[in-house]
Amino acid sequence: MFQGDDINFVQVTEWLFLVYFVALNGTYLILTAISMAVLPRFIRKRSIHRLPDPQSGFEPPITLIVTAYNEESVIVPTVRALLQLDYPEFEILVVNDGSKDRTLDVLTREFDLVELPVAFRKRVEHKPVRAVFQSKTYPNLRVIDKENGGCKADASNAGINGARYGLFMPLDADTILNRDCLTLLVQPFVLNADTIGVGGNVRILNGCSVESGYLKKVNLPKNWLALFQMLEYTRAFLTSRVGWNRLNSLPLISGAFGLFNKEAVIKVGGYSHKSLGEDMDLVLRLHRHFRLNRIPYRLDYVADPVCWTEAPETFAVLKKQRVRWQRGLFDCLWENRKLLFHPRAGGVGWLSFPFLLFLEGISPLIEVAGLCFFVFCYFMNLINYEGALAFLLLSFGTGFFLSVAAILLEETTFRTYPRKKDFWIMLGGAFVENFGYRQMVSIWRLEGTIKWLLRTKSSWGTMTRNASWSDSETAAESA
Amino acid sequence: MESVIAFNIAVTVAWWIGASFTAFSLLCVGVMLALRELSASSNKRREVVNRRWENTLFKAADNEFKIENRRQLTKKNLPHFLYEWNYLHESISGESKSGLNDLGESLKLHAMTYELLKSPFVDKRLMAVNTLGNLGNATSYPSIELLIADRDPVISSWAWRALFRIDVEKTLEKHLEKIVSRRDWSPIFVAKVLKEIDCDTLSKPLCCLVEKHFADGLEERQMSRLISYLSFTKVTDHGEILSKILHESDQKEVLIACLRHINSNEDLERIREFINDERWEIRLQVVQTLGRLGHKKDIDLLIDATDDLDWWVRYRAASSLVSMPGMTELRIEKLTRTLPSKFSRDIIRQVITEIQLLCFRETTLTLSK
Repeated sequence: MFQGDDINFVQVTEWLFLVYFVALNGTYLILTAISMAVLPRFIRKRSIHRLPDPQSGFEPPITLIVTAYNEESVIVPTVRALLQLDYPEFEILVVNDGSKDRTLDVLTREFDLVELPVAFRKRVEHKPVRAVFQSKTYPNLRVIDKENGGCKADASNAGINGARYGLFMPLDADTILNRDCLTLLVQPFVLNADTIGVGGNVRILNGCSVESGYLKKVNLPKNWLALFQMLEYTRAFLTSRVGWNRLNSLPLISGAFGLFNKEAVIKVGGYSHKSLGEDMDLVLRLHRHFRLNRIPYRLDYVADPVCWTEAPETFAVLKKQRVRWQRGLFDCLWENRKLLFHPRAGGVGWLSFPFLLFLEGISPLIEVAGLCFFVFCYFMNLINYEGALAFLLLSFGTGFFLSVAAILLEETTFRTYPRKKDFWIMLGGAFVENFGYRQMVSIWRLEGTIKWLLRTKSSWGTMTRNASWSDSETAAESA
Repeated sequence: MESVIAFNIAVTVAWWIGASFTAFSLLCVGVMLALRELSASSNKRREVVNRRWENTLFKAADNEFKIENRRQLTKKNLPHFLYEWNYLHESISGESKSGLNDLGESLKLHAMTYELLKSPFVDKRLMAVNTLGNLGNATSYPSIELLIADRDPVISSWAWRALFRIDVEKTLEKHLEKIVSRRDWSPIFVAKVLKEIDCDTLSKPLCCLVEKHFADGLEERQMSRLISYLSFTKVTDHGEILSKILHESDQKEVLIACLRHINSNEDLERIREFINDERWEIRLQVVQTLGRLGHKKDIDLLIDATDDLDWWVRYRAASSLVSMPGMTELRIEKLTRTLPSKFSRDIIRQVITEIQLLCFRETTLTLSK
C-alpha cells in the first residue's frame, strides 16, 4: 500500500521535527544552564541585604505609572499599597484611560483629588488629556484623566508625558509589588549610568491572600489553568530572562513590571499604538535605536524584585490573552525586523531575535503540525506504536524537564512556596501540563499567527479580573 | 497491516533524548527533596538558636550581659547566630554595640568567624566579613584587606565597609581611593558607608581626593559621582573645591553635581552665567540653586526663566520664584497678571495651585508671607 516515497517522506518529516525540537529545547536548556550558574550565587549575595539597611538618599526618584481602564474594584487598594512602598522618593501617577466605570470617582473620593491647572506637555503621542488631579492627602499622588486610547500604550504614553522624574515604572492597576522592589530594581541604574531599562520578576497572584494591598500569604493557585501559568512564568522569569540577560540579549521587559529611563523611551517615541505587544516592541525599539546608532546602553533584568499579578482562570480569557500575545510577538518582530542579523545588532540581532522568530514564533505551527502528522501517520500505519511513543516521550521528557529545572531554580533561590504539599502540586502541574494544556496553548497561538497573517482587526481586549486574592476592604469596594 | 517503519534513527534519537530528560527530571526531583530536608533541618536549627540566644543577645545589647552566663556556641549554630548578632548590631547604635561585641569576644566569635572567610558559599563569607567588621578587632584587618581586591563588587565593597568599622583613619588613608578605582561598586552603598563616618574625620581626605582627581581629569561620570559624595563633608572644606570646579569645568554631569551642592554666595555670579547655557539640564539646576540660595537680585532672572523653552526649567524656575524672599501672594498675583508670556503665567499659576493644595509641604514649596 505504501511506497518507498511515502516512507522517505515520513522519515524526512520525522527528522525535521526532531531537528526543530532539539534546536528549540536546546536553546531553552542553554538558557536554563546559564540561569542555574548565575542565579543561586546572585541570590546568596543578596542575602546579606536582609540585614537592616538605612537608605542613603542617593536613590534616584521614580514615577510609578498606573494605567487603569475600568478598574474600580482594584484601583484603591493598589494605590494604597504603592503609597507604602519602601523607597525614599517616588510619585504615583494613575492614568485613567477613559474608564466607563467609577474608577475616577473612587479615586477622587478615597484620595481627596482636586483638579490642577496643568500645562500638559506632550512629548509622546496619546489621546487628549481631560484633566489632571492632585491628591490633597498625598503629595506624591496625581491622576491623569484622559480619553480612551484603546490600548495600554496610549495610557502609558500619557503617563510618560506627565511623569516628573527621570525613571518611570509602568504598572497595571491590579499589580501588587513587594515593598522593597524599587530599591532592588533601581540598582542597575545606579551601578551603570548607561542603563535605560530594567525588568523584574513577575509572579502569579491567584491563590494568594492580600491585605491592605500587600501580600499576606503566598499560596499556589487553586485553579489548574492559573497553576500552569504559574509554571510558565517561573520558566520565563527564572530561566529565560536570566539567560538572555547574561548574553546581553534581553528581548523583553514585562509590561507589568519594568523600570525605564524616561528620556531614552521618549527618544524612541514612547510606546507604540500599533503593536499588541507594546512592552516587547518598546524593548526591541530601544535595542534598535541604541545599537544601530552605536550609543552605549544597557537593558538589564534582576530576579529578586517581585511583582504579583492576576492570571486568567477561564479558557475564554486565557485564549484571548494568548492569541493577543502571539499577534503582538509578530507585530514586534515585523516592526523591528531591521535588527535581524544586522551587523551592529549584537546578541539581540544574532541570538534572541532569530530565536523568537524562527523557533518561538513559529513553534505553534510546527507543534500543531507535528501533532497532526503523528496522529495521521499512526492511524495510517506509517509509523508504528514504538515510533509514536518515542516522539511522545521526547515531547513530554523535554517539557517536563524544563519545568522541573525551573522549579529546582525556584527551590534553590527564593523558595516562594515552602509547603511540601505545594511542592508536589507544582510537580503535578509540571507533569499534567504536557497532556493537553501545552497543545491547547499551541493551537491558540497558531490562531494568533493566522490572524496576524490575515491582518484581521485587532483589539486590546479586557482582562476579566477575578480579584479572589483581594481582602475584605477590596471586596467591599467592589460591591 | 505491518508497520512500515519499525525503528529508524530519528525514532531512536527521539527515544533516547526523551528518556534521558525524563530521567534527569526524576533526578532533579530527588535533589529537590534532599534540599527540602536540609532546609527543614536548617530552619529548625535557626529556631533553636533564636530561642536559645535571643535573651542573651538583648541583654548584651542592654549591656546587662555577664560573662559567667555565657553558653557554648557550636559551629553548626554559628551561621544562624551570626545572622541574629549582626541583625541586632546593624539595628542599634552607640554603647549597645559594645555590649554585643563583649558577648562576641566571650564566645570567641572572632576566631570562629575567621574560618568562615574561606567558605565556598558567598553568603557565609559576606556574613563573616560583616561580623569581623562589627567586632572591630584590628587583627582581622589584613585578612579583610585582601578581600578588597576581590573581583566580585559585593564582596569587595562589604570588605571595604568592614575595614572602616575596624580602623577609620587607616582605611581613609589607604583605601578611600577605591571609590574612584572600583567603578563596579554601588554608589548607594558607598554613600551609606561614607555617611557612617564622622564628618570631621572624613571631610578633609575626601575633599583632597576630589581635588586631586579633578586635577587629573577624571572621567565625567566618575567625577560627578565623586562630587556628590561631598555632601558628607563640611561646607568649609568643600566650598573652595566646588567653586574651582564650577569655574574650570564645562562637563555637563560635573556642573550639575556641583550646582546641586553649592551653598555659598561667593559663586553667585558664576552660577548666574549658566542661566543661558544651551543645555537645559544645567539651566534647570541653576534655577533650583538660585531658589535655594534665595537672593532677591535673582528674582528677575527666575522670572525670565519661567519663559524658558524647556517645560522643566519653567516649572522649577516658577517653584524657585515663589519661594524667594519677599514674594508674597499679592506680589505673585500682580506679577502673574503683568507677565507678557503665556508660558510664564501658566506655569506660575500651576505652581501656586500645587502649593495651595499641598499646604503641609511648607519646607519645600511655600509662598513667603
